[in-house]
Parts: sequence; C-alpha cells; structure tokens
Amino acid sequence: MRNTWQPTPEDFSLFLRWLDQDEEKAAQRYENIRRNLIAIFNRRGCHCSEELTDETFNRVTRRLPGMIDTYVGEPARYIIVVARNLHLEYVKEMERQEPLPEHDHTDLSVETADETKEEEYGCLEHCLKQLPPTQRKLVVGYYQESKRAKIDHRKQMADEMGIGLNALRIRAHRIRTTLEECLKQCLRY
Amino acid sequence: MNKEVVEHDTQLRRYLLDELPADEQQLIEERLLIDNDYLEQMLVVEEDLIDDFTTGKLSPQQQAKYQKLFLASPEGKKKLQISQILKKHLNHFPSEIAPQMTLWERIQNALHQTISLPALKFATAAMLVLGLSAISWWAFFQSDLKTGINALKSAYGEQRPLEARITGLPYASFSKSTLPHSQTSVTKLKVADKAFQELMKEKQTVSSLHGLGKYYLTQKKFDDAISSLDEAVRNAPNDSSIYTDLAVAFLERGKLYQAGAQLEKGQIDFDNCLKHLRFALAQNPLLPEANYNLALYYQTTQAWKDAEENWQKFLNLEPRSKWSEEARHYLSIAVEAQKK
Repeated sequence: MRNTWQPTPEDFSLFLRWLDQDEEKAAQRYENIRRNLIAIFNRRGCHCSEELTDETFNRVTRRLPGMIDTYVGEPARYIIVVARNLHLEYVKEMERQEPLPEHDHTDLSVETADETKEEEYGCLEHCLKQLPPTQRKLVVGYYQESKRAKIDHRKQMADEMGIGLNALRIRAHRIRTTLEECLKQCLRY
Repeated sequence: MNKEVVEHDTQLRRYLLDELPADEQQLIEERLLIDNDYLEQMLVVEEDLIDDFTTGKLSPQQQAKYQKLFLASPEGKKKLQISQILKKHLNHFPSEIAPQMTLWERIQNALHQTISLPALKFATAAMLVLGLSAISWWAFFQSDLKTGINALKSAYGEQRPLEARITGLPYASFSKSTLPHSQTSVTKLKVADKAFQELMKEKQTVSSLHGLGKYYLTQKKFDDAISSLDEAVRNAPNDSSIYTDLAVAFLERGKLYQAGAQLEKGQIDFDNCLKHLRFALAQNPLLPEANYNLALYYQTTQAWKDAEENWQKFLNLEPRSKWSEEARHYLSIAVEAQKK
C-alpha cells in the first residue's frame, strides 16, 4: 500500500506553495491539515494514522506537477479524496490479514484491582489539583451526575455562568482534554 | 442548544458511527480538515458518544460498530480508558478541592494552632517549620517564574516573534519566525520552556498564569495564551497588563484567521482585542504597551484616521525609544493611506 516514492525538498516546496503562497501561512496550514487528517484516520479505526497521513501527502505531492495548473478549488477537497482512497486500500489490506481477536470493551462490570483503582484515583486527584480552581469546579460539576437528570444539571450550570449549553460543552471539553493529557502521563498510558 | 447546533451534532454523531452515505461523509471530512472549530465540535460530540458507549446507551448495532471504528484505534482505546476512569471516580470528588495553602494561609493556620493547642512550644515549632517550608516553596516558585521570564526576554532580545507588544518584554525588531535567530537564543528558549513547564506543575497564581500566557504568546499558541490570560484576569480584574496581553493574543489570532479567510472569526477576535485594550487603558491610561497596541490594532484594521491619532498619542507618551521608531514608520503609512 505504501509507495516508495518520497518527495524532494522542491516537491515539498511546490506542495506548500499550493496550500498558500505565503511561506509561513502555508507551513501553518500544512501542520493544521496534517493534525486534522490524523484525527480523521483515527476516527475510522486506523492503527497507523500518521503513516497514512504522510502517505496521503506523498501521493498528492507526486501528482501535483501534473495538475497544479488546471486544478480549481480548495486543496483540502483533493487531499481528502486521496485520503479516502488510501483508506479503502488500508481496509482491504487489513481484511487480507488474519484478524486479531477482538477485545470486548462492553464488559464494564469487571472490577479492577484495588491497587489500580487507588492509582487511578490518586492520579485523578493529582491532575484535578493542577487545574485552576474555576476549571476544576467546572469539570467536576459538569461530569458529576446529580439527582436530577444530567441535562438539567448542565443547563443550570450554563445558566449560572451566563453562557449557552454548547459553549459550556466546549469549555468542559477543553478542560477535559487537559485533564486527559495529565492522566495519560500520570498513568503512563 | 439552538437548532443549528443540534443538527450539526446529530450529523457528526452519525458520521462518527459511520451511518452517513459516502458523499455526506466526504463533505464532513473536507470541512474537518480545515475548520478547527468544527473539528472541536466533533470532539465534543465524540465525548458524549464515548460516554454513551461506556454507559451502554447505544443500540447493540451501534455499540458493535463504534467498537470497530474509533475505539479500535490506539487513541480511541486510550480515550475510552480515560472516560471509564472519569465515570468511575469523578462522582467521589467534591467540586471544591482544597487548594494548596498560600504562605499567608499557612501562617494563619499555624497561628491558629498556637492559640488552640495546649502544648504551645510544639505549636510554635510547627509554625516555624510550616513558615519555613512555605517560604522555600514560594522562593522556588518565584524562581521558576523569574527564570522563565528572564530567559524569554533574553531569547527574544534581538528579534520578537509578534508584531504587537507584550508587556514587560524589552524592544526587539519584529521577525515572523517563532524561533529565536541564534543558537544561544535557542538554548535560552529551552531554559524558558523548562521553567514554564515546571511552573505549570505548581499552583497556578495570577502571576504564573500571566507568565505562562506571555510564554504562549511568544510561541504563537494563541488559544493557550487566551486560556491562561483569561484565567489570570478573572482573578485580577484590575490588572491592566494582563488585559493588554490578552488583547495581544486576540489581535494576533485575529490576524491569522483573517489570513486564512475566516473573516468572521477574525472580526470577533479584533473586537475582543479592542474591548480588552479599552479595559486596560481604563485602568491605566498611560500604559505604553496598551497605547502602542491600540494604535497597532487600528493600523491592522486599516482604520487609518484612528491609527494616526493613536500613534501620535503613543509618540507623545514615549517619544524617544526604539518602539517610537516603529511607531513613526507606522504613522507615515497611516498618513499616506488617507491620501489615497
């Protein structure tokens, strides 16, 4: 699936210029698209999203000299088409390989060892303490289930903060992202 | 939530569950590739989906399908584990976790113990130990902040990474690159980086959040800068320097949005920039950085008459500095632009 062709610095410069004439903006755009493409491959269950992303860029870069003068439209559209085709190849490749035994995530009733529980709790406590007090209060409040329905609880939080429910969700998500990074480090995931 | 958000969420949820036809899927992915806000909204929907997965709220078909999609990827597995930990433990946490005590709180606490405990000499000794440990913690914490800020000043001593003026940093000519120009400066930046990393592990105070915000600004991590500075300003609503640096973050991020043809977002950031500069100047009308950045804001938005007026005002305030040389250059551009 992976081709051996690698872009030269000139090829890569052409690719960047295609993204944006301004060198600095092109570099930012490249990094942004790369990060988001990795996220997309991850959502499709790929195990080697970074490699697939780089291969997508290689394929686009390779074809670019032949189409740069005639292609009209947003580069992202072309990149995503190449990425989707590559994903189909990936799926076929995976189907050819012997499937791994599936791990069942659904059995959530399995009790983890006390030691692990204590470690998780300790890490969560440590990571929550790293957050500024207002963020800590928000994230704990947001994910705690009160006696009332969760949605009502969140609505009340949003009202108290004077923001919309979606704005609250985004704030909670941002704090959760920080919390997750800290937990990954603490638990050595 | 408004109707549009609900519709977007429903569509993103179906996208994540692979329930959309190929053409709709492709349209979503095109947008995800270039629209970071949309990507963030997808991540929010994904969190709800993972929570629904862990609580068994999905249908058996959806449960099985999602397990083969994102949850099959290494990142998905990690997210699921974290979600389970949050679900398992977060209910046991009070929303107000006792923060680490400040120096003053430790002294007060020690004094309280002195009065209430019968064994006075033990209490006094405890107070002394607590006091000393608090002082060393404070000194250590201050040392990281000072080291970080000094290294930052030094790393960007010859070339600054932003056009706008960050408070407390000395003059340096403007360069578009984030990287310092010499190897020595790169080393200094590494020192700053390490100091701020350490600082992030410590208790976050107004000064540490402000320091972090400045550091993020130099690294052009404007979202992080806004988050830190916003938090700092909430705890110090009369600090004109923090408002000024927050305005810098909005101005510079707004420029990026505009350059990326995201005009509406750019305009929102510019409006926020102006709002925060006005707050800053209301607190301290003579703050040079705020005055400089206000003129630069008008220059950036091509409000030439206001730009001219505010550059003049800045030059009256700071007539002889290297900043004033740049101000004169911008002033001449603003004057010329009005003649066209």
